[in-house]
Amino acid sequence: MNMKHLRATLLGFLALIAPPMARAQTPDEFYKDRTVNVIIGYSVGGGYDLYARLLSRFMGDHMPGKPTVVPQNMTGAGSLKAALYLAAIAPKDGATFGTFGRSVVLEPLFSGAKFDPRKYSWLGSITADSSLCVSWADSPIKTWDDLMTKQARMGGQANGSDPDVYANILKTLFGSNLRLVTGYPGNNEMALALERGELDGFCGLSWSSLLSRHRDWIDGHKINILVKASAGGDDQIVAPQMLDKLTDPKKRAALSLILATQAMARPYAAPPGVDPARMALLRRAFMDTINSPEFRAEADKLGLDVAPVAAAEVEKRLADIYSQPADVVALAKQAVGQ
Amino acid sequence: MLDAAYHALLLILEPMRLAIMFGGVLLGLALGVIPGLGGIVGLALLIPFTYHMDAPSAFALLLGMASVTTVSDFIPAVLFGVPGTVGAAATVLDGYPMAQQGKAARAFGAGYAASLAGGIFGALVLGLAIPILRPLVLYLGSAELLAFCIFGLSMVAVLSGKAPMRGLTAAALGLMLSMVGSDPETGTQRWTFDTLYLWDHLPLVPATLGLFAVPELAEMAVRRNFLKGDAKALMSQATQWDGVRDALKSWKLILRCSGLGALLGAIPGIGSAVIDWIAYGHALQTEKNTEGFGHGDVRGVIAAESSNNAKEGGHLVPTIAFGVPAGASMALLLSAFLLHGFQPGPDMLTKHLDVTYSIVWTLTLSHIMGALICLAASGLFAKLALIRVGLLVPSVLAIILLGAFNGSQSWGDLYSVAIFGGLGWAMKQLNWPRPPLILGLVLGSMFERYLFITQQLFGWSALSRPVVAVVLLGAAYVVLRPVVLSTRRIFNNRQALAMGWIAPRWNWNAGFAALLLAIVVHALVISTDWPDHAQIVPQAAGFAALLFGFGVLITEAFGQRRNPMALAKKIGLAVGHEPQAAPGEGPAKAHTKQERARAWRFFLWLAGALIAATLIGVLPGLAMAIFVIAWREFGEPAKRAGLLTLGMSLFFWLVFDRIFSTPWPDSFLGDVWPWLRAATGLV
Repeated sequence: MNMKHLRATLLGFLALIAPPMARAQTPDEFYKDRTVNVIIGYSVGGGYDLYARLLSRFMGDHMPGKPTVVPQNMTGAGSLKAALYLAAIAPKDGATFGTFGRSVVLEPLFSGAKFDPRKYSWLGSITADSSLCVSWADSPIKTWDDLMTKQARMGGQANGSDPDVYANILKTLFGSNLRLVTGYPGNNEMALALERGELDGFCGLSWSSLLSRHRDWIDGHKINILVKASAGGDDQIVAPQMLDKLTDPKKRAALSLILATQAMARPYAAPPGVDPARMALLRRAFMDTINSPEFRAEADKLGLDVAPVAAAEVEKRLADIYSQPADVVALAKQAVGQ
Repeated sequence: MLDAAYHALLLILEPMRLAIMFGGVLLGLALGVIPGLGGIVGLALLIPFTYHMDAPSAFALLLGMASVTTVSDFIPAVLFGVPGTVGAAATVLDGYPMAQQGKAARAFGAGYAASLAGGIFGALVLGLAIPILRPLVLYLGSAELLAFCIFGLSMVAVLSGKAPMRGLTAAALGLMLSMVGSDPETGTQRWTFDTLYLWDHLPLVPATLGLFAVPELAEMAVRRNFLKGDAKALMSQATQWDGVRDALKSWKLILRCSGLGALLGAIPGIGSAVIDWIAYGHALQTEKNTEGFGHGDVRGVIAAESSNNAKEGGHLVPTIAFGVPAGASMALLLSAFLLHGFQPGPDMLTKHLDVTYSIVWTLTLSHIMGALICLAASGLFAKLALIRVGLLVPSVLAIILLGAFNGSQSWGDLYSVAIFGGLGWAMKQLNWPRPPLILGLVLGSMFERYLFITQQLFGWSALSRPVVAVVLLGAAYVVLRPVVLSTRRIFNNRQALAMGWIAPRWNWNAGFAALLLAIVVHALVISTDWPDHAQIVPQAAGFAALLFGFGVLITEAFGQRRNPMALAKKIGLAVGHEPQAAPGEGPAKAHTKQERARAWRFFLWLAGALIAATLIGVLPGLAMAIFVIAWREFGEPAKRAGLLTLGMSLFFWLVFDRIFSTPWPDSFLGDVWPWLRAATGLV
């Protein structure tokens, strides 16, 4: 190869890899023929994954240019990995957004995780939810009072998971006598332990999971719902509301802080700093999709609850959480067992 | 019950459904062959396609796919020493040496026959147990699960062969490794060194590939040949039908191992990775003349494969009866059930009994299809053993690295496979048994969870539960029998055996033991900062490792028997320089100086491949590694190396990028030129 050839090759190569000229694109043009990635913080088959895949199936149709929306699982550290990825590493061009656990937004407060959930470009939440404490029908624990006074054996998965968090809340804020037996690999194993009589019950069961995975528990009257914990709007669940059982203002503030995450139970966010026009498009598409009849029909078939929460509402809740005084935050942190 | 079964069979035998099942089977076989990809990837891919299918067809597709990955995972295990799924690691121990002796076709025959038998047995167990499925699973509480974990761990005794102390040290080390991550009781980050990667515990796929596949590949790179001696002549003689005949001769072993596989598969928590080891250990204990195990004894292959396949039927037991998935792929299958409106639980065993039986039939038929397809194609596969080493080694290395990467799709997976690879090589050269380490790694955290739950709920009264008592007695038998036998041997030969103490001498084994001890001490020191509950089991494992490791160090550095080789052979004790200590351990003959240099170079190339991946991206880095290793290390002509690189890169890109949408991690190149990342998605 002589110098002429070498030079030509080099120039050709450089031309190929030279960065394309930047050109202003309208949001519509941007999404045409584009692949939009939805990052899912949990593994395939779980609740968050089901919701995300359902959204991915229909959202492309509600966006101009009909982009392909591709779900991608990114598990790790209880979805904290996905949250951190979206906060700092993911491309900010509006073609990547994702979902993570509802309680992840509290991690910066409780464990010093290094991101600010208020800075995300929020799309909203597919639904709000309620967290329940349930007991098996033939266990001696049948009511809220039983839960407070008797030594109920309540199951847990790991420090920081919902069953443990809510059991700890009952012990610290309410002075319950319950016994937390933690270490079960998952909700299914705890359910099995309930049927076996090994446990009396467990907390942290979301209403949406109860509906989709354990319908027979409701229809067959196999469980008692001891208490429900939410930010409101769940009158269809017949059980005492946890917040109503507290009178002390500081304790109420701490519990409200924790429960605010139930209001954004299936959260979707894009990285901080996405172009406002593209964010507006994403938000509109998000809402249109989850309000569309096809989406609702499929969600019904899967037993998935849908009660849309707009981005503005999510941002307001987060602003509330992060403006609480230090002593309330400290009490909340202690209540969840961190 | 019988007419539900009959009705379900008719449902399945419809031509359209059979065709769908066949499609699923083909996909499953393809996935099983590629290490790191397993049923879970296929399920994620296929489930959306089943939205508009009716239930029996959907299950025909999904189960047809998921149940045959354990048939084809056998192929790379035999040909390259690379287990296609984590459940095929035990198969490598005997299957790979058989291939090296030119008996690959025979191994295939025996393996497929065993897979078929195991798979059908598993389906049979599931089908027959349906009436008692729910009471059966309900009977097994947390105390029973703890007992099964202990039983699994007791297999360490058998799998350590003639090197019990080294095996116990490895097992204790494995236990410690399984504790790495976030502790369930207190949430303490144990030995995670502030990384997110280690938060969720060490993924199994990189560890298995590193421990078992990398050393075999290194050995191939060092020896520069694959087939030993006049193996080429043997290849034309031994056919797969000889293998099938071998399997038929060992039908009792198949029955026992399948039973073990189905039973253990039904227990949620006993992972796929240990079931084949437990069956292998059982074969070691119960078969006669087990000297050849680990060097190409076909019974090792039969034991591992039959249990590996029977467990699939077992896995479905808790999944269908209670919705408790016995593993990650079962969790996916569960969501498929829910998608089609089937609640796992009593309904599946009463109202929807025909769907349950169609699942049983699917399992049976897909195994038959899969085994027949593989048998037909096995002649073709066996010829792969004849490929030049210079082309084989770089390709298999890239496949191992990509497979490991699918563990959790982060850089940590690649570092993990490299580190375990180095560890596995060292252990293989120094006669340290590796299966105990895997057993400890898989069962450790499950053991800890159920220990705490059992202690809180039952305390000591757990021992009085019948199943617990029986299983623990079994575990005690497994552990004590070899100890009693060897103690008797030592006692009878105690005069001849008298050890003379000499001045401490240094050898690689002592050095390795010392290094491990140093690591364990360091880990124990770190653990003193943790809350009490988080310390108990890790520190117990750590002290066990110290105890046994110290024993190894002492005997290596200070002990000298009067008549080493003859004595050792006579009484069956392990001495550092004896050729075979544990099944499959140790090189056949010591390495020459040139070969040792090649070994060092191999690991340098491995490190180089990782560095290339970090700099220019995983796929580009591996492509470069394949080219450079084939060209420079093995001296292949540049054109041939280039063609190989092109072919492999295209294959990887199609499969891993286009079909499976693997999220590639960020490399240096993509950081410097973000537009390149946006354009290709590969850097």
